[in-house]
Amino acid sequence: MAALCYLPSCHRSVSKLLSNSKSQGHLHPNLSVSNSNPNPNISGVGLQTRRRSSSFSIKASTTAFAPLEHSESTSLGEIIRSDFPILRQKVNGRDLVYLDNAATSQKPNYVLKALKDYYESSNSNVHRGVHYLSQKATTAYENAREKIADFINASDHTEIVFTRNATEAINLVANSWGDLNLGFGDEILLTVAEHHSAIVPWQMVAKKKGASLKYIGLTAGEVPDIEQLKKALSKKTKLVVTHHVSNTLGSVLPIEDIVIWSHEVGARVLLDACQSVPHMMVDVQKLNVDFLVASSHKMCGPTGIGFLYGKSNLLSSMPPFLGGGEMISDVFQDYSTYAEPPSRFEAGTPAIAEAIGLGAAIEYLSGIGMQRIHDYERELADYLYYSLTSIPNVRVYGPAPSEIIHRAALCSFNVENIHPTDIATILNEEYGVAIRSGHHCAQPLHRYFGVNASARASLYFYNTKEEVDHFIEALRETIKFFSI
Amino acid sequence: MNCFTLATELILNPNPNHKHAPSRSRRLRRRCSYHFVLRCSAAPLVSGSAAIAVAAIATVTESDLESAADACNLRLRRLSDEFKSLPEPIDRVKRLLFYADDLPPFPDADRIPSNRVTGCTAQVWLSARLDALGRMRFAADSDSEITRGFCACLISVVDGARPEDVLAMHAEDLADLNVVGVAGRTHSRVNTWHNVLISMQRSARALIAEGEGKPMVDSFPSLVIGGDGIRANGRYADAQVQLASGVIVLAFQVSTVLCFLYVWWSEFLQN
Repeated sequence: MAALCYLPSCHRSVSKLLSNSKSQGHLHPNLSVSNSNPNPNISGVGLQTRRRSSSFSIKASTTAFAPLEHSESTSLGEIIRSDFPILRQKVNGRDLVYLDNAATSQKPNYVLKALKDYYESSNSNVHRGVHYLSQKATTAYENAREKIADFINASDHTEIVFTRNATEAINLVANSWGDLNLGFGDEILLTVAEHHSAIVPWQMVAKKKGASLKYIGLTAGEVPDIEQLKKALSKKTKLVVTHHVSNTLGSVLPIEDIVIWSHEVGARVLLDACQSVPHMMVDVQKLNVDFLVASSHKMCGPTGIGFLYGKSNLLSSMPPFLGGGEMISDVFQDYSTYAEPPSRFEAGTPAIAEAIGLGAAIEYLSGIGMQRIHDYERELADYLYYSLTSIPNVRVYGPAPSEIIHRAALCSFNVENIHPTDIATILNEEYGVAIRSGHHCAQPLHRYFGVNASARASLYFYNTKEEVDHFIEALRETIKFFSI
Repeated sequence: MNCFTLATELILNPNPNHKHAPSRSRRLRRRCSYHFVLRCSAAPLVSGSAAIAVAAIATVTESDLESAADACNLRLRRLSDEFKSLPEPIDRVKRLLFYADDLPPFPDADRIPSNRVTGCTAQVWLSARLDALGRMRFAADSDSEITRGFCACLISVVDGARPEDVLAMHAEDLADLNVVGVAGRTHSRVNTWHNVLISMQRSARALIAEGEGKPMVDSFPSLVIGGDGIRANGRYADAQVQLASGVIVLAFQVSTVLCFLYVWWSEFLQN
C-alpha cells in the first residue's frame, strides 16, 4: 500500500542546504531507509528493537546532512525562512519579525502541502472502512504515529497516543492514571516554573483523591532547585511533573537524573516536552520517562494535534479517559469492553489531517536535522541573551548561559517602570516585532519573582541574528519612547 | 433631565473625584501636543477644555439627543472619529497615552480583588458608584499606561450615564475604536475594551440590584478550587442563584396552580 511520502529533498531550502553541504564536501545523504535506523537523528545508545505492525510499515525516506564545519554562506535561518510564506508579510508597513515561537511556530510549505494534499486526495475516516480512500487515510495516519515514535525513539508506535494538544495529554494522564493510582496522602511534585497545563489538571485530581501538590523553588541562579527536588522525593511521592525546557526561564533540566531519583522512591515522571521536542533531540528511552507530552503546533505542525507518549505497561493498565467510538472493543447495552492502547485513548474521529500534518512536520525537521537546529539555536540563544542584557534597566529571567548551563533561545524580561504589554504594543505597532507579554501561562513563577507579567522573545530555527538585532534596536527605541 | 441640563449640572458640580494627573504622567504631557476640540459632556473635564465642551454640548446635544443613551452613543462616535482621524498607529498610541494622563489617581483602598478586571494581560482595577443623581461614576487604573488610556477612553464615554445606558452598550460598539492592532472585533483575552466594559456592566447590574433591595454577589473569581473545597463565586454564582431563584419561583407558581385546580375539581365532582 502506497504511503503518503513527502521527500524533503524536493524542497527548495533543504536543497540549498544540500548544495551548501556539497560545496563543502560534507554531503552524506541517506535517501532510502533500511530497518536499522530510520531516523538518523537518534543516537544508537539505548535504542531497543521496535516492533512494527506489518500493516503499517513505513517506507519513509529522510535526508541526513553532515554538520557544516564552516559555511561562507548564510545562516540556517536565512536559508530556511523562504519555506515559511507567513514570514514574508508586513505589519504596519514593516517587515514582520516573529519572535513568539514559544507560543506557536510557523508552518513550512511542506506541511501546508501535506494538509492540502490529504484533503484533495485522501480524505476519509480512518480505521473504519475497507474502501480505497479509507485505507489510504488510515495508512497515512498510522504512518504519522510511526514517525512520532521514531522521532522520540519510543520502543513501539503503540506508545504514542494522539491528543488534541499537550494540555489534553496531561489531562488524560491525570484523569486516567492519576485517578487510578493516586490516593489520600500521596504527593505530586512539581516545580514552581511549570506551565498551567501541567499544574491545573493535577490540582483537580488531587482534590478528588485527597493528594497534595508540592512545589520546588528556584536556585539563586534562577533554575529549578534540583537538590531541593531530590530531598523532597519520598515514599509519598507518586508522580513528578516537570518541564524539560522552561517556556519562561529558558533553562534545561537534567531529566535523566530526575527520573533516576524519582524511580528510586517508586514515583513516575511526566515530562512536559513542549519546548524541547521542537528544538532538540529527545530520546524517551534514554531519558526513561514514564510519560511525555508535546504539541504539534510548536514544532511546525498544525494546531489541534499533540501526543502523549506512555510506556506500554502503563498505558495498558490505564482506564479510558473519553468514551465513544474507536476506543471500544464490544458495546452492550449495560457495559462495554475497551480497545488496547493507543485506540483506548482516542475516542471518536481523530484529527486525521492534523496528524498527517504533524508527520510531515517531523519529516521536515528531520530533513534539516535536529542536532543542526539545536546547534544553531544555541548560537541564537546566547546572542539574544547578551544582546538583551546589554540594554540598561532590562531584567532577564532565568540562568545566564555558560559552558555548563545552556539556555533555550528565549528570554522573558521586564523593563523597569514600563509594563510589558506597553512594550509589546509599541514593538508591534511601530516596528513589526511580535513578542509575547503576560504571564506565559506561568503565574506561579511570576508570583515567585514578585511580578505580574513579563515580555518574552522566543526564537526558532527560521529566525536570524539580524532579526534579533532589529528587535534589540526596536526595544531601545521603545524604552526611549516611554522614558521621555 | 435632558443632556443640556445634565452637562450644565456637571460643569457647575464637577466630579468630586477628579484631580489632575500625578507627576509620573507629566513626561507624557510634554510629548503629546494634541488638543481636543470636544470632550464628552459627562466625563471629568480638564480645565481649559471645559468651556469648549460646554459650548459644543449646548450647540449639539439639546436639539439632537433624544435620551441619555444617545449621549453615550454620541460620545462613542466622537471618540471613534477622533482615533480614526489619526492614520498612524503610533499617533493613536500617543493619543491613548494622553487620555491616560487624564485619569485621576485611583485610591489604594479600592485596589481590592473584587475591583480587578479579569481577562486582561495588565492589571486593571475598576470601581463604580452611583452619584446623587443616580448616574454611574467610574474610576480605573492599571499598571500599563496604554491600558490606562483605554480605561480613560471608556470612562469618558460612560461616566455620568445611567446604569441602563451602560448595560445597553455592546462590546461590538467598540469595534470601530481601532486604536491599536487589527480593526474589528477581537475576542482575544487581551481585548481590554471588552473586559473593562463587561466589568462596568457587571457593576451597573449590581448597583441596580442593590437599589432594588436585592443582595449583591461577589464578582470574581468564577470558580475556586482550593484545599478547602470547590466553591462557586462570581458569574457562576450569579447564574446559580438566578437559576435556583427561577426554578423555586416557577415551582411555587406551578404548585399553587395545581392546588387550585385540585380544589376546584374536587368541588366540581362533589357537586
